[in-house]
Amino acid sequence: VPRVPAAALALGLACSSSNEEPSARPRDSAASPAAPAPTDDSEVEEDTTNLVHVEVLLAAEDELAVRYQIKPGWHLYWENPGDAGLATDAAFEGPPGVTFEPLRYPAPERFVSPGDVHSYGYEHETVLFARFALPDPPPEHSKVVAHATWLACKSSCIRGKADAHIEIATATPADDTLLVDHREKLPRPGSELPGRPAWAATETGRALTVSIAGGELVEFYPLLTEPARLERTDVTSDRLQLHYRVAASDLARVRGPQGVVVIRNPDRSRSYFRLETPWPTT
Amino acid sequence: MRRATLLVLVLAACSTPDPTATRREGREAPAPAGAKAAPSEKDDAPPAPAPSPAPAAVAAIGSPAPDFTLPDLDGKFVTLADLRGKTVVLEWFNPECPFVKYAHGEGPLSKMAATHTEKGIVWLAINSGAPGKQGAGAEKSRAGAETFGMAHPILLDEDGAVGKAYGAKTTPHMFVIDPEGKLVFRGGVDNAPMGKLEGEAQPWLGRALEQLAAGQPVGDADVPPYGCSVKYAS
Repeated sequence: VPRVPAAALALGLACSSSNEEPSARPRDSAASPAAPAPTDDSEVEEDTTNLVHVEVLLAAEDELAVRYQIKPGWHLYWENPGDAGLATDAAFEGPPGVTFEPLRYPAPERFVSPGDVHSYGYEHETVLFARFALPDPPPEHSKVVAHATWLACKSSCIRGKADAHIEIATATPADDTLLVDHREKLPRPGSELPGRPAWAATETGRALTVSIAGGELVEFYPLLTEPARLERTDVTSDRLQLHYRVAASDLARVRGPQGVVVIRNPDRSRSYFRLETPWPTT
Repeated sequence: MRRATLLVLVLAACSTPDPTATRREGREAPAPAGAKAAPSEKDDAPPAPAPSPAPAAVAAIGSPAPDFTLPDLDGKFVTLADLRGKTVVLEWFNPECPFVKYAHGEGPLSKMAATHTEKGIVWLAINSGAPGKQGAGAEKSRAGAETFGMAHPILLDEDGAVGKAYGAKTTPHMFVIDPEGKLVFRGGVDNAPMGKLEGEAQPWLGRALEQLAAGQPVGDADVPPYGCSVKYAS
């Protein structure tokens, strides 16, 4: 490993939070003179085994939680990874007759990498939730395996997978302190969003404007809405405007929520809502 | 010398984001972007051709594709303008990116370049990884080419100026330039990152090349890319 001049190291630490992916440079690293040098070489040579630890927990009587603990400095991705990355995923395998609902993802953070690459994901830890239902009568054995897959990125990206299992009939629900922070970030239904959405035709497609009341709009995380392509997002404290490029002939094929809206409440807490305004058909 | 280089790199990482400041400071030759980054210290590398300024704005569909001159892994320079009259595919490349490994292994890029090169298309991979980053540089690119059985050239753009001029965000991010030199496609190879299909299958790149060969306009000319972020210096 080449030696890094002390002055360069100090500069690197001092400026690291402004120009690099926030996830790749924990801010508190600057406080410790013993922190590893943030050189590119150190990232490439870092031990990249065991970047993610996965366990599956019983979150409620009828709900599983897949918990991903992530090595500091690395991040995993939301259901829409953004410009780069890959969705973190878990596929469940259980006894015959046990059914699983789709995974629910907590609202992510935004990472901006050099080259204006915006991606969405999680640092440190995330939990994906999935409700399940047992058949009647319940199965004789109750082992459920979660096949977890992810892409972990820092400066480099490493693909990973792991299986975790749980006996759903005998497991004790997990201590809620483990899950509460993540559960709070699960988006609430769009019908609860304190805002008025309205569509308008534009030169290249359609624009959705949402006026927010009763809180401050702080972030919007888009979901993929092909064949409508989000070309521009304007966020102010009280208004979200989404400009989609879409041909009129494709409108009928567009479906699904537009994304997740984050609102800061008067008491400084944050609320998370799905934006799921029906798409215009004409 | 090594210490000085490292200091420059760290200082460069601290500079404010400025698209015009992507070229490495302190080098004397004002050669086109990437030309300065000829494969590792080859004294016998050919001299850089006449400079062409790096474009300021990101390339737009339907507009002239930004010209560039970049070295391949043997230090031979390739200039886009010299390829006028041919369809050119640019493939942003990082041999250690899991998406690239998949695409060139079992995925959609395993035979695509060879198939289209036979038809007269020029296919160029570009590695815009900054020195020290994952998959960057001549040595790793060469190893990747061998592993993947790639016959097409890999060009090095270590200061990332060409990548940024095209707005290349990911590996593999694909661009197609028509014989007149216009950018006619950018985006993902398809809509199946790592082979995982998102909705109805869309072989975007292959279809764009077919449409171009048939003299038709490219239908889906500007589609979302996917992959690892390009490992730019800043």
